[in-house]
Amino acid sequence: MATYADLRREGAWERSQTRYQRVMEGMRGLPYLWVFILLTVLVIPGIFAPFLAPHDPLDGDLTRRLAPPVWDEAGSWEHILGTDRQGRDQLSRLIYGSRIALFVSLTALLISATVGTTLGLVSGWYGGWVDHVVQRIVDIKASIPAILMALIFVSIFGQSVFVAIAVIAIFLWNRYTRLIRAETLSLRNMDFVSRARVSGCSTARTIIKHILPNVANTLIVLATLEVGVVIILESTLSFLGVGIPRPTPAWGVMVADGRNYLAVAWWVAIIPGLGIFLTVLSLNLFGDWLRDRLDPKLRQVQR
Amino acid sequence: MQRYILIRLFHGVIAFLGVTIIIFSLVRLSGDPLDNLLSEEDDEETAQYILELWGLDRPLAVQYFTYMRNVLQFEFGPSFSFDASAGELIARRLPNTLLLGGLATAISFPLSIAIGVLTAVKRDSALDYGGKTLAIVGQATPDFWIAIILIWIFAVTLGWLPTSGKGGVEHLVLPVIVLALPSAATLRLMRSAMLNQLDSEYVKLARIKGLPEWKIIWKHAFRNAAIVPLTFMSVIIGQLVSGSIVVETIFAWPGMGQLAIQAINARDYHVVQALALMGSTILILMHLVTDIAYVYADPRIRFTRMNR
Repeated sequence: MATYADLRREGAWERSQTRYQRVMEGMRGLPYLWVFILLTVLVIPGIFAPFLAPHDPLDGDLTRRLAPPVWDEAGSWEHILGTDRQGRDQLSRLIYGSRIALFVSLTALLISATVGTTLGLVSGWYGGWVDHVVQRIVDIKASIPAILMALIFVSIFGQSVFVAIAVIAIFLWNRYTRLIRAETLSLRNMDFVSRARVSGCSTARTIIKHILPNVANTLIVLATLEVGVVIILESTLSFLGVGIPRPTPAWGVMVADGRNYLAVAWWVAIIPGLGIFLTVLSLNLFGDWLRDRLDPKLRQVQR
Repeated sequence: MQRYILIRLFHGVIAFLGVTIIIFSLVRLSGDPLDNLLSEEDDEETAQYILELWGLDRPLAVQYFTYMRNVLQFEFGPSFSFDASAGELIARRLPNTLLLGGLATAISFPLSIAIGVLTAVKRDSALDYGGKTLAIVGQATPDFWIAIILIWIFAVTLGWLPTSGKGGVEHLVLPVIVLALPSAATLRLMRSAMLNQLDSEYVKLARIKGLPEWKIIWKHAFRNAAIVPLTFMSVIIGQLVSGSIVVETIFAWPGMGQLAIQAINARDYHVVQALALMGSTILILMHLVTDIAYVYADPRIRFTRMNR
């Protein structure tokens, strides 16, 4: 139900005069806390890792193995979050882990969004047998469990960051296809599209210039909501030893490394998991906000 | 109706063929199988003999058909690291995995449906907000981390439960909990489906004519809303397949998931392929069953899909 405040806000963007007003209106309801957490846990450490990390993430001090974090009685400011079993600084590894998470999720997202959107546009636009073929490909993809797919890939191509990215990209493209296909189907018969056709637009031009901009909001929202899925999947694969190879400090690898030391050094396994949790939580809540602002009809789509 | 089921079956067969072709070609892509079979001293003649023995000199299409015949007879070749064939290994581990997965589903599914209905009926209550918070938190938590936190609290610190392995009932508690958690997503789904139904005209009518509230909820709204979790079943099964790999690895549970990780670490190709094929087949069958069940449960869909 529209309240009085809602009615006053309606058209606030159009009425806003200055750039400042527009920016403020665009950011209305922005979940500042979650954006802040997202920046401090993922984005800033990811970009500036070499400047922020106090120690080398790979080179451990074997005399200071499993050192406790600073709030423990035996802890010191030297290693704020303690060290792991090889004496490597946990905070530095976490910071470099953000870089891995950021890199893997952005690359995997770029690939899967490109592939998925292209297939969605094509099958929605052409329909008929093209659509049938794409739907069967989607079926086949849905039939292979992600982790088992990762196992096959690793057993054949070995373990590397790029294999991990490929597996994640292969696992996640189908959502774009489904949503973009549905949107393209409904856009295809609209007046502005047929007018573009009549005025001589080629198929490629119509799709790129007239359909794509109209599905851009859906695309952005979906991509934001998928980052969390990517990070969870990547850390799960790394945890199982089929994702990011050691000694690269990925968060999932760090949890796996700390698993056997729960009794003597709980922080080695628990704290990196907290990093994953905070990142994904804030990403999801930011994505929810973005969806409500850009594409409220996606509310129906469950994540 | 029969036509729809036939088409759906046909799609299932295509998916199965697609999966086998992908796995078959990935394995062939990985390099010449002779490299694994021959040693340095073997001469041309031995190579030729093995080529013919394994049928590797035949066209790829023929090789694929041989492979398919073996797959359909549940023959995946010998395991390199265990003293058994891949098929035997899977048959031995299957009951353990089914025990965990079955228990997790049997507990979580009815429970999350009941709580879903309850949170819809008691909308905006403390219970509802609690459910919402749990859903948001749960969605952001990787299940391997939950498992490790539970081990840390209940096994390592408190010492109430064993950390891992197979044994009595106490060995089941933690793995089943971790495996059951992802399906709590059904709770939110059930809630929104119930809210949709409770908003509808026929519920208003039922209230006006003075039907008791429990009857409205369970006899009218619930029956119409129950179809939503049904369609979600295939997603849940997919999560179970992936989840059991994680859970069995962490809790050292001797099931197929643990076998998968052991096989990959030993580079035991036959076992990995066999497991991937098993998992895919389970998913294809589940998709098929839910799609058909869905059409049976909702006459409106039955009608529109039939006439498509």
